[in-house]
Amino acid sequence: MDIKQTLLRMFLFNKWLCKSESARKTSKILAKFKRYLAISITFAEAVNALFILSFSLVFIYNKAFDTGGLAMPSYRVFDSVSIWWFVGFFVLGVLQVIAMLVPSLRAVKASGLCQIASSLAWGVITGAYYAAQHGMITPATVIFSIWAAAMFFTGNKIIKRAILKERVTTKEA
Amino acid sequence: MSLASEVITSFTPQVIFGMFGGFVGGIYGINKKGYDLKISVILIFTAIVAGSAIAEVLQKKFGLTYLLLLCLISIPAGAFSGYLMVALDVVSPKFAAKVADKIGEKVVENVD
Repeated sequence: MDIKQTLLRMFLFNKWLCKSESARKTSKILAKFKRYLAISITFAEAVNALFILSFSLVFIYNKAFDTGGLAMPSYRVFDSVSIWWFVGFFVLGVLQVIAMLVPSLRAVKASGLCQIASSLAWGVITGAYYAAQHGMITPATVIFSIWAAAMFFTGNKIIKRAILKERVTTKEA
Repeated sequence: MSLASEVITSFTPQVIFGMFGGFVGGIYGINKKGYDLKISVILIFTAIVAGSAIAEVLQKKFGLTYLLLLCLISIPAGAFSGYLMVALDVVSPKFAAKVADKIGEKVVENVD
């Protein structure tokens, strides 16, 4: 038998070993938390939300407080861009966080849509960087483009899986 | 400049490649078995428009002129447009079901 499972049973589920009510409550809470994690949050969503929020906050801060912008040529592209574009990007990040934390099938779909939208945004950022450096490939372009592709495929997968699950549940009902 | 010439000149190679990317993304995004032909055609049209819009913004705002890169970037825009029915379903499931039913009924009436 699996050693991890045995230990869990010994400590949490075995009535002879552990009869106290608090242990049972803990095991129930753990099971609930595990189910919540399985339904709601995937690692990619969390990292994507963090990336979006931090990236947009940097530019919002620089534009709102007139710090002169970031000095590197790749960031100079965004000088002509209005602050509201970044506010919109920030709102997308907030939506992603909300969709990530709500444990329902509808929220999972919304999260997938957020990921595809963010993939588009990362793609546009990659394009802007690439254009600003006159077709020279830099680490920023490589990282953002790979992240955009990853978000595209995970978003598609999340939505398709949610649709399949919905069909199965409606058929069963 | 007249309207016709302005429309013709707006179809730069960049925009055309963006349209192609949007088309590919739209086909990728549409859930094949879920909707009938009419909704699919509307969604693909939206996807093409979205892809070309992204290409135009990138070209005019950031000066990006690389054709294949624009094609690649406009694929997610098309895919998002392909998922518009899913988005409607997320916002209000009743309304989405109503829209699908109405268009479906019209198709059935035409077949009869």
